[in-house]
Order: sequence, then structure tokens, then C-alpha cells
Amino acid sequence: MAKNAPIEYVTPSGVKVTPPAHINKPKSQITVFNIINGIIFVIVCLIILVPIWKVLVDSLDLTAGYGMKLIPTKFGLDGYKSIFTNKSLLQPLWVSVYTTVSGTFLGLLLSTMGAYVLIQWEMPFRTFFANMLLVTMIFSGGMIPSYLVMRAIGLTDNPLGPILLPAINVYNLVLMRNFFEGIPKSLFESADLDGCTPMGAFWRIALPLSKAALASIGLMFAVAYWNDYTNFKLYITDRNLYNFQMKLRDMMQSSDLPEAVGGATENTIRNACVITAILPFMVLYPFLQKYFVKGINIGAVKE
Amino acid sequence: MVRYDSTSLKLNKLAKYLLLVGVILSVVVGILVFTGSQTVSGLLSEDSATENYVKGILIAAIGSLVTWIISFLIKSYAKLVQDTADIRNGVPVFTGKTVKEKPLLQRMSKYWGFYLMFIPVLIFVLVFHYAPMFGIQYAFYSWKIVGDPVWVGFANFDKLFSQSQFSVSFWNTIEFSVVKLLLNTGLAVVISLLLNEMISLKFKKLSQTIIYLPHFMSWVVTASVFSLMLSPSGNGLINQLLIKMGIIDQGIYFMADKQWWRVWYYIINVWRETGWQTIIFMATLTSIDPGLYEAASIDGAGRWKKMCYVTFPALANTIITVLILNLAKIMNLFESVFVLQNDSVRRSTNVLQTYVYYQTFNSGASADYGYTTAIGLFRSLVGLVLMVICNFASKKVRGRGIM
Repeated sequence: MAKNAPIEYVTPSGVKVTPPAHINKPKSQITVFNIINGIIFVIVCLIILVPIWKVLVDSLDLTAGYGMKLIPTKFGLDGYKSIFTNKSLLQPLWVSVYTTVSGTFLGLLLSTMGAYVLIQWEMPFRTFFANMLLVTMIFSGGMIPSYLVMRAIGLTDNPLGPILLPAINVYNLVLMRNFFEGIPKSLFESADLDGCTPMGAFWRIALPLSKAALASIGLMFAVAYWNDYTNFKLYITDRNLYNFQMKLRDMMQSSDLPEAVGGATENTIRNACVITAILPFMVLYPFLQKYFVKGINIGAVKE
Repeated sequence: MVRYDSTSLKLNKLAKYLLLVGVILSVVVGILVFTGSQTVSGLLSEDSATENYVKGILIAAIGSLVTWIISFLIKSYAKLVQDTADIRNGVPVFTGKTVKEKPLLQRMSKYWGFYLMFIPVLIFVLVFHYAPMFGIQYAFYSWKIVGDPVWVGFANFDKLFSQSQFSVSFWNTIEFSVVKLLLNTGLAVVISLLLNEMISLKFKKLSQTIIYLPHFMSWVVTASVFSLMLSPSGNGLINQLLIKMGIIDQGIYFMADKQWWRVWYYIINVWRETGWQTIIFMATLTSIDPGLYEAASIDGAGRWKKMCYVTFPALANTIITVLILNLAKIMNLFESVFVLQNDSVRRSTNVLQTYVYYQTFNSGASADYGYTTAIGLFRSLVGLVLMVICNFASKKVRGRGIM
């Protein structure tokens, strides 16, 4: 069949059917509008990618002045060597890693447990608990009272502070609850009849059935923890407890940079640090994109 | 199903009257203070020179808020009683008699496992969300870094409304959030419409992947990337580009100029968030019934007419929803402004949250937790009012609240 010919289907009874015009449009039909549209998107994508690309190029370039070039002239990995051989940069990286891992785990645990309790419709005080969580979404004590509480319970300048505080995220908890609601009730009922405890049903039924939601919400937590700056800025003043975002911010603002290795200049190290901060997610992003996007649609399942 | 149960009816009625009485009472007291009744304002604080109207409004607002919360809790308890009564009997009860139930403890004992599971969540919520709410009382104290809190009544609010820095921050918060919201939403709609017209599916997917990308970079990284891009030195791409094109002679330090700072703040926000915002519009676009387009084609509508009369009306509801949902959160602006600020533009670009931060942690011995808590309380109250308005608007527009 010629490429541009309209598609035709033949039904079992032998009638020829042509699909409606907008579906039947030959795939390769190119109009002026489509070309302009394509060009617009090439430009949009370039606007987004060029700043990131430029930083990547500069992090690999060992000449002093970069100017406008978008390909390195004197290629070298010295910028990255300076990061990974320097204790003052490795320590924040390590803080970021353990905060992200433990925080994501804790956040998922709290969200799923809370969500699981909130779908027990007949439980006394369920409505009270739900409202209690909702109130926190519309009213908060504010930055200073939170700081005073954190200080009073000894979580300032404590590596646990930035792990514990963001772990309770009511928004994610509600998303998880919406997802759990989609699990057929009969599954829990039969588990109950077979003598399964609530905790057992949670581990054996609720969690295995919600892997997609766990992935989405886990990723949201992971991104939030890895990118966390505000909580560290507010509650951490000890430089040894800084995470990588804090360290990066520090380096961008001052000329107090770690010792350079080889031909790395100040700017090379700065650029290399930016890339290091986004690298984990840039590498995983193309593969995990669908989970990222699915996350915000979980809440819409019910509507 | 209609459910009647005298206990919950009574409780609901109680909550309603309590709310009514509470609001009326606080408004009346507020008005008395507002008009300058000496006896009432004398009770509150003697030496505060606050304008009476400020006190009046605050009393009315806080009083109403407290009664609202109490009546809200009573109502949720009523709902609890109502639900269980209904389920225990299996049929709705119309008699108006109190339904006899199993004792609460007996009903709760069936769920002991769940209560156990909820304890950690409860602890986290109480410590990190509710405990700070009790700290709001310090808005009425003066609490320097050294020493104990001292009761000062409304003195903090006096200071607040007399500081030019406060009003600058307040209006900045509103301006930044609203302009940013309109720009992001407008551009996101345009991009989604164009994306929807794309014929090559592969290119469409690729474009989507790329435009979602910046959303996952932290604000610190975004700020770092752009401070490298905008650097006035020979390494700043944008300045070099402008010089090469002959528009300017030498590099401009964009982020240190308060006019340019605003422009770039909006551009950076668009760069980071617009792509991500298209997700919700794309979801709406794919859910439009193709039959509508067919019908329009048969009636002779071209691409443009179809966009005007089919696509856009379908999107309108989503656009309003997005605007309402985001309007409720505009007082939360902090990190994006904080990381893009520098010393030379700080005073003219502060928003409420950054103002609170600098007042507390960057002003040395003159820092006053009481004063900054008062700013925070003001911010929370404005945010709450916005929430209530948006919730109301949301119920009108799409038939359900914002949560």
C-alpha cells in the first residue's frame, strides 16, 4: 500500500470501513503549520537544554575563559577529580546520599501506614484522624515556631532533623490513600477471615498491590530529599552536616573553593559540582519518567 | 442515603451555634476595639500604641479562627458517632432516638492493630505540625535571642505595620506569585495546545521528556546554572551573546539590578516550571472526545476554529482549577526567591518568608523571635483566608473543595 493512501478496514462481514477523517489522516502528511510547530519545539527544547549543556561542557573544559563555545576545547576530567578526591566535598555528598535513602524509606513507611489506617472506614476516630491531617494542609505554625520546636527537642544541628521533618508529608499520604481505596475491599475481608492480622494484610496485600504508587511516591520523596535545601538552611549550622545542595550554594557564593586537582580552574569545579548535584536524577530520569508523571495523576484516579 | 441520629444532630447544631456565637462575639469585641473603647483595649495591653483598628481586626480574625477550629472538631466527632450508628444498625434510623451502640472501647478494641500503626504518624504530625501551632503565642511576646519571653500584647503588630520592609515584602509576595502563576499557566496552555497538534509521536514524547526535566533540578542547582549563565564576566553565556550581537557593549550584572532581577526571576520560573505544568493540560486534552472534532470538521471548521470552539472550552475548566489551586498557596513563596537573592537586591526583592528568615537568623542580637513569629502569623492568616476563598470558588466551579 502506498504510504499516503487512506487506511481501510474490512469488517468480518465484508464491509469496507474508512475511519473518521482525523484518524484517517495519512501519517506523513506535512503542512506548513506542522513544520512551524516542529521548529517551535526544537527552539523550546534548546532553550531548556542549552543552559544545562553549557554547564556540562564547562565542567569538562580546562581552559580559563569559556566564552560562547558549546564544545570543550581542552577536554579533561580534572574538575570531577577535584570533587571526588576532596574530603570537604565528599562528606556533603555522603550526607545527601544517606539522607535521601533513609528519608525516602521513612517517608514511604509513614505514608503507607497512615494511608492504610485512613481507609478503615468503620474505625472509631478515623474521621478525626483524617481531619487532623487535613488541618495541617491549611494552617501551619510558621517558620519560627517550627524552628523553636526543633530546637527544643534537640533536632537542630542534628543529622536526624532534615530526615525526620520532611518524612511526614500529608499530600503524599493522601495520594497513597486514594490509591489504596482502589484495592477491592473483599481482599482485605477474606484475609481477615483467614486470620490475617491488620499488619499482615498491610504487608501481604496492600503493599504488593501498590508497587506503581510506591514507585511514584518514593521517587517524589527521593527527589525532595536529594534537593532539600530549606530544611538544612534552617536547622543545620554545622558545616560537617551540610548536604551537597548546601555545599554547592556555599561554593557559588564564595571564592572559598576546595583545592583544585591538575588543570581545573575555579569555574571548572563550580560547573562540575552543579553537574554532580543533578547527575543521579539525570541518569535515572529517562527510565523513570513515567513514574514521575504518574505520581501527579494518582489523585485523579477516583474522579 | 439520609442518616438521622439524634446525638449527631445535637452535636452538629451545637457546632453551628458555637461557630455563630463565637464569630459574632469576636466581631463585636473587634468592633468595640476598632472604635476605640477604652475599657476593652485597656484590658489587652496598656502601653501598646497599636492603631485600634489593627487590634480590632486581629481580635475578630483570631476569635473566629479559634471557634471555627473548635466547631470543626465537634462536627467531625458528630460525623464519627453518626457513621458508626448507621453501620451498626444496617438501616437508617429516623426515630430521633439515641441509637444504642456497643461501648466505644469495645468497638475500638477490634481495631487495636490499626491504632498501633497510626501511632508513628500521629507522633510525627503532633510534633512537627501541631507543636509549632502552640508557638504562635510568641507573636504576643518579645523574645530576644538571650533571655526569656516577655508579654507585650500587640506591640509586635504595631512594629510590623510601621515597617516599610514589611509592606514591601508583603506586596512582593503577592506580585511574584501572581505574575509567575499567570505566566506559567498561560505558557503551559500554549505549549500543550501546540504539543497536541504535533504529528510525529516520537518527537512529541522527546519534547515532553525534555520540558519536564528542569522541574527535578533543585532550586539551588537552578540558581547555580543561571548565575553561571548570567555572569557578567567572559564566561557568562548570555552576556557574551548580547555583546556579540552588538546589543550591549559590556556585561551587565543582571542579578544585582533590581529591575533585571525581577525579569530574570520570572524567566527562570518559566524555564523550570512551565513544562511540568503542561502535564495536567495534556491529560485534559487527551480526554477530549474525538467525536467533537469530527463534528466540527463536518461543519467545516478548520484547525483554528476547532481550537477556539472545541479545545479551548474543554481546557477552560482545567485552567480555572489550576489557578484556584495555586492561588491558595501563594503565601508559601520562599526557596525560589531565597536562592536567587543576593545582598545588593535583597531589600527590594524580599518576600514575607525571606524577610522572616533574615530578621531572625541574619540580624544578630536584635533578632526577636516574637516579632518574626508575628509576621509568620500574619502570613498564615492571609494564607488561610485565601484558602477559604479558593475552597469556596472551587466548590462553585467544579463542585468539590480544594482538598
